[in-house]
Amino acid sequence: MLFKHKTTDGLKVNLALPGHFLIPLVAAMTFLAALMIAGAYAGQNLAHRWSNGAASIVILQIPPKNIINSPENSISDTSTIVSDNSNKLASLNQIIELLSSSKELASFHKLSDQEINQLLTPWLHEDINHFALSIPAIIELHLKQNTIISEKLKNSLLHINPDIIIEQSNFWSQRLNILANSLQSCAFLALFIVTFIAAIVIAIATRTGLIQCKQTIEILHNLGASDHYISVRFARRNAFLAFIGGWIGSIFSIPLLLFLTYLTLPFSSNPNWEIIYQGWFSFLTLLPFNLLILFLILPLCNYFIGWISTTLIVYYWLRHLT
Amino acid sequence: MIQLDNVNLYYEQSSPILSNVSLYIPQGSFCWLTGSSGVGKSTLLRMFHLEIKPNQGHIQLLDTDILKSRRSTLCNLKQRISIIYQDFKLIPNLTIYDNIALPLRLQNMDETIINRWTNRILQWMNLQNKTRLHPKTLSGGEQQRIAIARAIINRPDILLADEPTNALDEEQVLRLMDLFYDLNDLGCTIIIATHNDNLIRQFPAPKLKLEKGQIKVDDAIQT
Ligand SMILES: Nc1ncnc2c1ncn2[C@@H]1O[C@H](COP(=O)(O)OP(=O)(O)OP(=O)(O)O)[C@@H](O)[C@H]1O
Ligand SMILES: [Mg+2]
Repeated sequence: MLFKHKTTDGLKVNLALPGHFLIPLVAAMTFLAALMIAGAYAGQNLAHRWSNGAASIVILQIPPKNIINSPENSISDTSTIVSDNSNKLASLNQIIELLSSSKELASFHKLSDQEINQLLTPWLHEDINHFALSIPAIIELHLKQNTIISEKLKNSLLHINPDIIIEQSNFWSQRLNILANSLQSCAFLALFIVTFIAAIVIAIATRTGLIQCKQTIEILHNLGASDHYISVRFARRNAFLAFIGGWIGSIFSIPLLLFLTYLTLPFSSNPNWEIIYQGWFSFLTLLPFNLLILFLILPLCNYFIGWISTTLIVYYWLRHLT
Repeated sequence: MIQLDNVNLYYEQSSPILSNVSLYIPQGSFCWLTGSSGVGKSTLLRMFHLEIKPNQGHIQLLDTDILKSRRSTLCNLKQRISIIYQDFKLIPNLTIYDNIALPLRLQNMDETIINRWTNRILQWMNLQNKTRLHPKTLSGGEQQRIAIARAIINRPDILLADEPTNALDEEQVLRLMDLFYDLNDLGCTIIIATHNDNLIRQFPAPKLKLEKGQIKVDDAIQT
């Protein structure tokens, strides 16, 4: 239990733990932590974007079914390719049926003749309907996560039409995704290190303060003050200083973070990023809300880091005192 | 009660203070602790006050085995055992009032009760006009009286006094001994370390004589 009038026990924690040392230090640490968190957040966003974007798209090219592949026609001349319209339609329907029932896909889209026409006209220089060779049907698959298409689905598709071409051009996207993920891990690691250093600094400051108050602590201890009582007296002070330092660090990090957001928004998955050029207010509406909440939480985290590291060092010190 | 079983107590690089001592002091006893200077009286009292542990053997205080008890238990036990230090050990940056009220505040007592008890004891000690002063500004005798007040304010079960009359005049010594007897009547065990043979003759009680690492119990003086 603590005194109602905290100054009447003779422990001068305000002098033993001076604010002018801890507050700027914690503020600097918080500033760094805010940057790390922003970095981790940006990394996460990029990874998310890449895993939802190009990386998860698979293109299926379904050539019209060749007569050559039908066992009953195996005697026919191999050099002639005869397209069978009804056959083509049947295999396409089968494929669409299979894709509709697959759980791997977020969605799929079969390109219409018009879309294919638009895509190919620049190369073919004529309408595909007038083109001599038959054009394959094209289906765009959107996979659910950043996975590659499963062997099972691949085999099922090939079973329907062995000539199907499955094109998952996600090599670079996957690389980028790994890069984004590792950037994020680095940011978290750096955050952990900053937190650890902050805790160590607080612990060292506490130890110095304890040594300064040693005589009074010994007397209080001999009058029956518990370890808990003494640790709370120190922890309160340090947690308060860390909280103030946390606020200062958070506030100082905001301008820099706004600037970084401004720079990185075009790379994000936010479809409205272009409005950042329409003025400050439109820019502010695009700010990631989670991040702002996080900065409000930072001083609270500091409070707890201050409290816990102080308590641990006081308990440790007291046990070695007597 | 205080019970020692085969206790060894020594500081590194100095002759032993207790070697293999067994002793039983029942609750409510009143005794003197004597011995030549440097023999270890203060050290023994500090061991009774749980500040130092014996190097060997067992010690029980108020039915608690102190070597087997947890820190929190010992902390509660400390609130029932008071000590008057030879060098007073007052907290310099606290007023006299706050120094005396400290044990009660550490027990989280109600501030009105603290106020009543502290003022009463200040009056008894004849220090009621100096409540807002700090220990440094007081004479040795006044500081000693504050140390005594702080030790008795929470009505301990054991009171250990290390030369408590050193800085007091004749009249104050008489009043203080009266106070100790009153406390003893209430069931408090009292052990007073002193060099003062006159005092022992004046207030006869069993005598614990610390000598060459042994405690001799000398009852003769009581007759
Ligand atoms: N913290 C310590 N570390 C090492 N040795 C100590 C310590 N405190 C006391 N001593 C030694 O222990 C011995 C006993 O000291 P103590 O103060 O208990 O004697 P005392 O009987 O109270 O003496 P006095 O009558 O002069 O007060 C002394 O030789 C002293 O030097
Ligand atoms: Mg002594």
